[in-house]
Amino acid sequence: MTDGVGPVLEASDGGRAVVEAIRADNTGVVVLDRGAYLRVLVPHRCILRRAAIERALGRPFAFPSDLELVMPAFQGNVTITDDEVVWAWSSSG
Amino acid sequence: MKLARDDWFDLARKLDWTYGYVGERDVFPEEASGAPWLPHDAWAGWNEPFRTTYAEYVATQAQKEAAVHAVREAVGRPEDFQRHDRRWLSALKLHAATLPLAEFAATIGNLRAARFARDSAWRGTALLGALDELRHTQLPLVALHDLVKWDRQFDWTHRFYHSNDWVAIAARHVMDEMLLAADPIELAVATNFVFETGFTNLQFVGLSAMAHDVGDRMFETMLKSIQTDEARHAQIGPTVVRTLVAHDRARAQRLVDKWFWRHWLLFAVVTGFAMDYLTPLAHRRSSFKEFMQEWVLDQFARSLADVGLELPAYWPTFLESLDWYHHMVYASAYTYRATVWFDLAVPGPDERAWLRAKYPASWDALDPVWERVAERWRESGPGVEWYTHGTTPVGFCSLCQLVLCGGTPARNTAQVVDRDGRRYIFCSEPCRTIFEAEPERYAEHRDVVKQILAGEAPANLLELLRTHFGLTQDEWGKDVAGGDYPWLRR
Repeated sequence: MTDGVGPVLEASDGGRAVVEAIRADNTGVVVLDRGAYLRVLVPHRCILRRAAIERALGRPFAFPSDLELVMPAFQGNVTITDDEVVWAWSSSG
Repeated sequence: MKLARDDWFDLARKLDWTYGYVGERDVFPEEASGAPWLPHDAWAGWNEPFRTTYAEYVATQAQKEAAVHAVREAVGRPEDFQRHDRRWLSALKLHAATLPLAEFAATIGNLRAARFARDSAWRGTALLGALDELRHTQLPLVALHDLVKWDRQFDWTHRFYHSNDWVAIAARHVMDEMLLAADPIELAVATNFVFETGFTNLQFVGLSAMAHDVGDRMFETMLKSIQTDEARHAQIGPTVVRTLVAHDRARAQRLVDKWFWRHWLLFAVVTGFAMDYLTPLAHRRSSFKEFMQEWVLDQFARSLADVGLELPAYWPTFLESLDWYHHMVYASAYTYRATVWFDLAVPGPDERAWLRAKYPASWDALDPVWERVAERWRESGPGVEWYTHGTTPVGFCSLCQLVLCGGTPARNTAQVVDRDGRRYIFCSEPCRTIFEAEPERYAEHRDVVKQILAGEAPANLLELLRTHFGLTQDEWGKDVAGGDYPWLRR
């Protein structure tokens, strides 16, 4: 995917909950299953909302610390607040 | 009322003030803080995207440690490792020697940035980075050196960087320059930007995925856990690069070009060997080149465009070398395996078919090398290591210190340069260019061959291994099967 952005997640329950939350709030989501890890790619801009992941997990989830535990890498520039994480490029490729 | 984190966090991370009794240049001299020297105003907008407080850092790291140690308790005993294929153990030995103590040098580099970097948010992020790198030193040291109890080659986990083995000389040459000799700006470009958002993903995520398929839960968990730290502190890179591009674009481009090439050669050896030769065929999901495509060509090249830089001028050379370089070095290392601390394998017919499918542009020219090696083993029979081994020391590149393996079996790309009455030889055009841009930095370095010529190391190979490299007969590399492959028997 040209200009895809998003996290690389460990293939664990926490990682899958992040994928589910990203699917809920983005369109055009592609998830590449590499066995030990899942690469999530969304065209141009990928948003992850705390509310969505807490719904998926059924427990509180803090940014960035709980995300850091399940995310060994990511593509794009990341912006993190208490409530959402956004991956995007600052220029068009 | 409890304040939201976003409401107070900037107060804790932006702690720069105006100096009353000394000048800014006295607090942050250029030689320690890096070039170009810019007033703090130029750096004041420095923001780490991955914002972490120290309290959060400690809590998160404690959870990561608990997770890794739980896996180690469950499956990290020597008997758990003994059930692995001996090739996979060689991949572990290669990792164990080359990475952990390089991470310790990264602790030192980050501590320098934690003092001399130009904005307090950058310094704070570098301090957490230094603590990360200490963890990345200690975890693999404790997990992998422990295995020396049943396999002496794992002693090289600690010994490698303190030895004069040729691989150690090459690794020190690149790691010392990047982590110990670089100022915080060059460190941020070389380590945080090029190394950690590009290449370390190959070893720490890509190889972790292979460990998963091999069934090595300990190694998989450790690598992945380490890379979650890297993903956070790597974010120093793009932020520094953007300011550097705005004020001295040429220097930014030069540093990226230099470090991309240096890291490529290093990872071609460390990750390339592990993925295409030392991982048992049944567990290979992708080739080294495919992982390079995913993590470096797709991901890193896009990051480079995003900060406003070009692909290095040598990009076509680099793309071509993806099909050749690590194969050439592996074949050379196999025929000089007693000069390293891990065992190497001859790829059998199934592996050669896999390599041909993955490397259609190059394998037809590389395959005859292994045909000749297999023929030598057939002639000698199993156990006769020296019949399939080189005997005279080989030449090394005056920049990367690796064997002269640029190009193809038919066309070596080595270049000779005479300068100030001395002769230098380079494996490739980019290595020569990097050397010539900063000759004062590299000219005095002496590789193994120069040490031999200066009378500081013995010319006899066995003596060189024992007295200079520090390898004993039970430690030095052998054929992983002693030449006794089922497919070799007539």
